[in-house]
Amino acid sequence: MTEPRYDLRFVHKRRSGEIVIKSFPIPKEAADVDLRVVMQRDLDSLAGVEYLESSVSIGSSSSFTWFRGFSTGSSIVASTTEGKATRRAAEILAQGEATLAGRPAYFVTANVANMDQVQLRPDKRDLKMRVGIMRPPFEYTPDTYVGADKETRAQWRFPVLVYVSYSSLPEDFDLDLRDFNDLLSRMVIHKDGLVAVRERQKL
Amino acid sequence: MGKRTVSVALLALVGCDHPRGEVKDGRYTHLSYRYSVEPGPSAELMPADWRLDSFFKKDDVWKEKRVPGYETIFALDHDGDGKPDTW
Repeated sequence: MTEPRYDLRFVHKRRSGEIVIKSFPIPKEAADVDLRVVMQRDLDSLAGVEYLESSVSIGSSSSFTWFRGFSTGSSIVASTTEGKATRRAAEILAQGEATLAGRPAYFVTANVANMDQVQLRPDKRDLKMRVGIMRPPFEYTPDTYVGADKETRAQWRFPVLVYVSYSSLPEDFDLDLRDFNDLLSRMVIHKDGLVAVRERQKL
Repeated sequence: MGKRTVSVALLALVGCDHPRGEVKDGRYTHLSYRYSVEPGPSAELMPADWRLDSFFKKDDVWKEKRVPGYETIFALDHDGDGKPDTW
C-alpha cells in the first residue's frame, strides 16, 4: 500500500531547518507499547545503518523493524534494499512526556552524529533535532477495505502513530525552534470528525 | 470469484492514491484522519521563511506530491502469519 511519506514537510528557505509531520500505521501488537519505549527503539536504530529507500513492513509478529530510522529525516526506513550505509548515533540532550494536540506524547531533543565523521573530529555533529511521537485516537484502514463489510474492515484496522520532527544544523537549531513549536500548538484532533473544521471554513 | 473478492478488487481500483491531505485557506486537513493544523498568525501554516515541500501548487491549488521520495510503501500483514499481504 503506497501512502504519502509526509503529511506535511516544510523546508526553511535560507537555513537548514526541516519540519515534518506524518502519521502512519504500526503493527497491531504495538498499540499499547509505551511511547517512551517506542522512542528509545527509534533512537537505538540510529546507531544502525540508514537506508535510502523507504519501505515498511507492518507485521503483527516480531519486531520493531517498522521503526528503523524513522527519525532520520528520510522517513520511515525498514527495507534493506538500496542500502547506502551511514552509521549514525544520537546523543540525547533532553527527553520526556509532553502533550501534542491534547494527547499524551513523548519528545526527545538530540544531537545526531555521523560516526565516520566523529572518528575524524570527535566534536562533529551533523544535526540537532527535536522529535515527538503521539498515539492518536484514529486507525488506518487501506483504501481497498474502507468500503468492505464490517468484519473485513475490522481485520484491516491498524493503530496509528503521529510523528513530528524539527531538525537543523546545530548552530541554526535555536533560530527556528519557535516556528516548530508554534506549528505544533495549532494541531487539532477533532472528536466529531472534520465537520467542525469545514463549518468554520464557511464562516 | 467470490462476491467479496470482486468488491475488494473494485474498491482497489477506486481507491488508488487518494489524496490524504488538503491545504486550503492556510489550513492543513488530513482527509482520512480526524486532525488538522490550523492557520498561524499570518493566516498561513508557516511564516514566509518556510517552503511547503510536500505539496505543489497547480492552478493555484495545493496538491500532494505523489512521486518517488514522497511516498512510502507499507506491506501490511493483517493476520500475523509473517507474510505481507497482497491484493
